[in-house]
Amino acid sequence: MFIYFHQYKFRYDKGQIAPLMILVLVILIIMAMVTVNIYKVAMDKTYSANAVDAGALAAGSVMANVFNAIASSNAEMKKGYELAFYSIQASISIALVYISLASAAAGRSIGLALSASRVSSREPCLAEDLAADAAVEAGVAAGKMKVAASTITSAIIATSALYTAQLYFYGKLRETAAEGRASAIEQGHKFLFYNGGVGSRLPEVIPEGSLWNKSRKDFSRFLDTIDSGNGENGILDTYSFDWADSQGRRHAFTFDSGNGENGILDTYRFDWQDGQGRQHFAESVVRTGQLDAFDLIVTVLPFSVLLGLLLTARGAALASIAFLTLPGSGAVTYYAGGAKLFKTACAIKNRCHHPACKAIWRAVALAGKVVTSAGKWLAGSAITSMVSASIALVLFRLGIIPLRGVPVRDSSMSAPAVLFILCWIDDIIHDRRLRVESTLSQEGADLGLIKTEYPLVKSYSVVDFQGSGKILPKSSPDLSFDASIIETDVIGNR
Amino acid sequence: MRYVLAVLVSSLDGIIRRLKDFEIRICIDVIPAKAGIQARRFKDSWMPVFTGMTANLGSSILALLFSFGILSTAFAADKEVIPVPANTQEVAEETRSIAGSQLYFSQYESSLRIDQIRNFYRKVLADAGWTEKDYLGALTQGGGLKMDSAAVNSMKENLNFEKDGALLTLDFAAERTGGKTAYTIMQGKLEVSGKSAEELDFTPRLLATPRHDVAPVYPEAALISLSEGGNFMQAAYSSKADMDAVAEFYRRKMPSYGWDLVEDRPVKDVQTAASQADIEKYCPECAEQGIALPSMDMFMKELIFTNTRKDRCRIGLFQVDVPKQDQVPAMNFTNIMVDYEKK
Repeated sequence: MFIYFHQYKFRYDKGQIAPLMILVLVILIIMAMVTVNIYKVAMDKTYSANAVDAGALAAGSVMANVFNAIASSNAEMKKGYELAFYSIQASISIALVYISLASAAAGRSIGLALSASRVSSREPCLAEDLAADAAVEAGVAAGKMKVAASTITSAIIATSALYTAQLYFYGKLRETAAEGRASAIEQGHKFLFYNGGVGSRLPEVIPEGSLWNKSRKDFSRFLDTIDSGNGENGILDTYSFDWADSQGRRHAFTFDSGNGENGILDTYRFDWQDGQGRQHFAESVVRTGQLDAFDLIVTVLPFSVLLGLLLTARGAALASIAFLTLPGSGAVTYYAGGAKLFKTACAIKNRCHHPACKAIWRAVALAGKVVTSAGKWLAGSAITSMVSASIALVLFRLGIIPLRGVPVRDSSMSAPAVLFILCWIDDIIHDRRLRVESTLSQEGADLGLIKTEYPLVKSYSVVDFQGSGKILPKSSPDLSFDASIIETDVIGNR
Repeated sequence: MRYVLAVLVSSLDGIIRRLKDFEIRICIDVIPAKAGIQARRFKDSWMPVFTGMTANLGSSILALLFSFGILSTAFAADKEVIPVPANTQEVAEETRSIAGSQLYFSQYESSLRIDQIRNFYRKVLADAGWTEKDYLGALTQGGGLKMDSAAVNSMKENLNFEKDGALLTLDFAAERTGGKTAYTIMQGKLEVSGKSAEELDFTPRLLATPRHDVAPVYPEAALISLSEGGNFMQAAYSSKADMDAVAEFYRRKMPSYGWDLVEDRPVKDVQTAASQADIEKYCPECAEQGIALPSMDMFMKELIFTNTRKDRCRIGLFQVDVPKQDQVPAMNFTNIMVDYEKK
């Protein structure tokens, strides 16, 4: 063609500008169309980049709030454990003090009974006093052990309350964390679509007699239905929004979260077809790790073992009380019985000086000695029970301390973690990052001579919400988890 | 200075008592937040005294003094002021009632080592007339308590004192955390003479009143723990009542506090039992001592309420059943968790 122009037309003077103008015109039209398309793609890219930033920051901020809330609750959880721990420790200390006092009293009763036995064959009157004192001491020991047993009972109640409270509030914290994560993802999607230009494609008010069947208000109302008050965990399985525009083109915006975690999917796609049958879609992806793996600091011993120790201590304490005071068979009864016999022997000795009487009071004193010895044996058994109770309490005391440095991982609120008393959360297994992606696809128009095409407009934004936050803050509240964008497809990795 | 103030306060107390026939309306909330612990202690110890009285002047003076944090110790009846070593802070305190007697707990964090803290208290408590008691030594030497030395040694760090029948114990945490030594001082006098142990309630009742009056308290239930902030409250109570009775109580009473029941979760079994193998694994000493796992059942139930502001209040109930074994009587009680969250 150029050779033709060159050879013939360029030397021809008349109308030679016309083909050139046609060529220029075609080029201008193509350039105009390209410009329009580039502008359209650039606008879409701007929308998309803003949308992912908005979505990422919104979702990241919610995640930061979730982590701050967990940190705050964790500080309370630790405080709750420590206060309960110290009050239980104090109960154990009180119980040990009273066992010690009881043990001393029981020991004194044995000493007195022993002395009574020793002097009984010579001085039954003195033996009577000593045996009576032994009975009093045994009674004192029993009284102290009653306090010890009751204090152990209070430790049982306090320990079970600590276990159930920590378990319950931890369970609630897990639920709140999962809901918070779902809410973060939900907010990420919402902010992405709010800023992605979907709403701007709809009219403010549906014009009278037009084919539009939804306005922006309808879209806004629709987005409001994505609310924590609906469905399982506050999120419905399926959301659908459809409308027709002024040209009668049908559009639909549907996402299905049927199998999503906590009722929410990480990907939502908005598909629509316009009046010319062109297919379009906008896709939103929000990804962040699950909030279900928690490293927990727990007590050295499982709760049931701790309870077993306290119940053993309580049983031993009650057994020692029985050894001392059980009517008819306790040490007090035997000491008192021995004292009575010594008293009888004393009376005979003092009133009858006949040689036969000597044999009688000695025989009675011997009987008193045997009975007192039985009391002594029972008091000894009581001390053995006290020692058993003490051993159980000491083991309990060592078992209820936190096992630091060896966290137990819990992924589903199940054994082994929940078998122990939860002290506090050591960490949450999560990278503290959240990524939001957007994809916009628009089908080009077939203009006969030219078919326009649009590339996929993709954007992403990564937010880090670690800030300077700590799951176990030094002070409460210490709200230091904070979201900031660290990477986008535009600026790269910061 | 504090003792002088204590005298002043006791005089003020006398004046206030004389104003018994009038009505005092003290607004505890006006006490600055930084008064914190003192304000709570004040509220717990003195609110009953003020109920039914009127003396705005007296209350204002008291509130003012408390706001300066200078009357805290003077108002805590039966609690002796114990000096605190240098570089040591009180981080928490609470008062509990066991068998009708008040026990005071103060938790401290110190930069000092355990031996330095022990030496400090040995000296100051001896000066204050307290006598050190080695109860553990009495058990290990005279009482025949035979224990692994490491186990006993860790308890030997603790100190026990006695004065006029009152006990004072210093319990040290097993490890230093963040370079700090944590310890707790418990003091109080367990007065149980003249009463049988059976007729006394040994539940460690926390003497505190939740700031958030959001849920009724089951009759006779004892407050065991309380944690609260501006927009939340977590409280644990213990009751001897059956779980079903407690659940019915909350179903019936919560609406009068503006709550609607939105979820009545079914009763579920809580698996707490470790195996005998676990005992041998986690506590070989327990196995040596013949400690057996308890036969115990635990059931859980949950009621979830919301109100018009979309606040949430969960009532978690745990029923603990320990059956009678040999001579040891059965134990049945219900732990009640109240979890309030403001929207």
